[in-house]
Amino acid sequence: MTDLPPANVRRASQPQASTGSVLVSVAAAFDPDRLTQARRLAGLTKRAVAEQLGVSAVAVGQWEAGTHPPRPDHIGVLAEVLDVPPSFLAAGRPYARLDDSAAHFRSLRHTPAHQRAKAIAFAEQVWELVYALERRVQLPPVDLPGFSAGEVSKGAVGGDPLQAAQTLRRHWRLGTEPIPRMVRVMEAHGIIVTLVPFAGNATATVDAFSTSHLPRPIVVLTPDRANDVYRHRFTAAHELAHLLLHGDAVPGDLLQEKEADAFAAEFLTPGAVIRPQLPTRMDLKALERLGQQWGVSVDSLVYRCREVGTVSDPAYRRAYQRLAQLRNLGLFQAEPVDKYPGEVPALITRAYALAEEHGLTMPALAQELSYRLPRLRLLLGQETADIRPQLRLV
Amino acid sequence: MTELKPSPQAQECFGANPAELLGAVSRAIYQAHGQALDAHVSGGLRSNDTYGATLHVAQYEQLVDMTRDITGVSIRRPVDVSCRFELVVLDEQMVVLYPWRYAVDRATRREDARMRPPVSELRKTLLSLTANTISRQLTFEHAALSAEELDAQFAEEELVLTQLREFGQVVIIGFASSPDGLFDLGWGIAELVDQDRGTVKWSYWEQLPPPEAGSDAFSPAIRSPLAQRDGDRASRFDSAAADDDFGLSPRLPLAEPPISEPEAPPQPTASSKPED
Repeated sequence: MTDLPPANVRRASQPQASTGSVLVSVAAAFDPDRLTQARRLAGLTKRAVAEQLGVSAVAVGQWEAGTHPPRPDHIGVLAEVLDVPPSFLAAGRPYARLDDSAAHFRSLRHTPAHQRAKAIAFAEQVWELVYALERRVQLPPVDLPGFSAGEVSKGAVGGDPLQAAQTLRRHWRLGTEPIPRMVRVMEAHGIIVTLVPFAGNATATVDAFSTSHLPRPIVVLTPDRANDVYRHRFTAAHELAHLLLHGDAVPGDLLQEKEADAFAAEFLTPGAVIRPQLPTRMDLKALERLGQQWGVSVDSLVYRCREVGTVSDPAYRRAYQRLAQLRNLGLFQAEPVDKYPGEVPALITRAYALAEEHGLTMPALAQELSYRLPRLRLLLGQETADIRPQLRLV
Repeated sequence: MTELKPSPQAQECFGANPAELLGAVSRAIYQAHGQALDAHVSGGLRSNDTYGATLHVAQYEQLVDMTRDITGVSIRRPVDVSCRFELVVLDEQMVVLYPWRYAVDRATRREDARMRPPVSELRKTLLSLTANTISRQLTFEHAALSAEELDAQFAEEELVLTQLREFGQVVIIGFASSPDGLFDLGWGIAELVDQDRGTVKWSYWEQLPPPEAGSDAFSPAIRSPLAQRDGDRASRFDSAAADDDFGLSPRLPLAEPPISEPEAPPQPTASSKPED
């Protein structure tokens, strides 16, 4: 392995901290990209930031472009507006820049641009946290065929999604049995998976996304979809397909999305094994039982029935539409992810716990990363809501 | 209160012991009507606007309040379909209760009542869950099929619709009322057959008796469980899995850059090659 960080990971000299003139030193070491990252995390436009600072949007644009640095007094207000410590805006920490086009969004058409930007900035932060933990704890090495240093070489598993799923099952020694813990098996092979409401109430609009353009592949799953363990597992497998097959992300590409669905179906329910187990006529209760054994939804098995021709197209459409309707209503979900420990990400949490046993503290880590503590807790999966004590006026 | 004798249909929809639930439903609608009547009287309007507006909210709130402590009842709001109110859901039976004041007078027959157009997305979605009518209108897709094949295809669709009921259906809590009284109350299965006109087709209806005055009719404290559904659930996909660790081990802090990928095997160099 190389001692140098990958190409898209930057380092700079550590800013000199001074209790008397923190803002001056931050201004001197100002990092334009950090301003962009903080602004995206806050979900603000340049114009919105400018209005709150009382400067022009052009000025903010110049700061982000690096043509003119902000004054120290602007640094203080910027930090306040963007809810980051002033030191966040300084260079000197490992930073993996992720391009907007380098992530696959499950619901691209429904995800507003500013939410995508926020999601990408979140993924950058997840990597920063993982990098900080990796310096203290040996994590499972990345074991994804063709992946190295934020790049996926084509041809490692072939281009066909079904073959790729079969190849990965063999490579990970999963046999042809049901996969009891989909998320855990991904983490055990070095893939970072998160399940936190990184964008508050707007997280639902993002659904799920993944990127293989960072030194570790990252899959971001969202809690709003976690009330259905089967959909959650399928989404995880879908994102795994993007990591494996679609290094050259074409966001929203319908063919890639279909390939990812085909991969997920084959990975979770290998066709050669599941087909003989399907009922010979439409029997939704039998499919439900089979789905429970394999950890997949009834509709995915209805789709399998159609593949082998045991149901007619009209019956398939009728069942598929109604089941989709039921899922969207969300009234009858009885299988939330939290009842399935193997589907809740644990790698980052456990890595932090081990590092803590060996002396790392939350404030020290927050300071190292220049994050506020609530942000760090969120990234560690320890905070799903604001846990500050609430003042009640009586 | 009046003893409710469960019908086979009630047992199918609400479990083997539905009396408490149906009693709570009856109390809820009468309570909501009472609330609306109080608002109507206090408002002093000649029109029924205050009554109607209060009842619209109270029917949902009372259904939730009266049933939330019954074992097997969950209170949920739809996820992807807009709905201001929480709904009562029976998890085991996969049934959601939806209140509908189908008439504001005694004269309108339930069978003739229509949902006011434009029908909301919520109503369209919920009432499609009980759809059991298939269109026998032939299309180009059917052109190549024989009469037997057509019959088989329609029969299969009907079979699917029957089976789909077990995956989630809506039970309408239907009633007719005005400040003059609560004229009719019951539960039933209805399907929205014409979305544009709001036409509804009832496939089942059962009257609910009023709660007895002076009893514990307005107490929501009911805690007997609804009967369980069939227990033949298959083994879970994760039942065989043991907890696994990631083989995490501490590293000398900040000593070297992380090792995030397996180290490549050393390449043989000229000096390491065995001599011939």
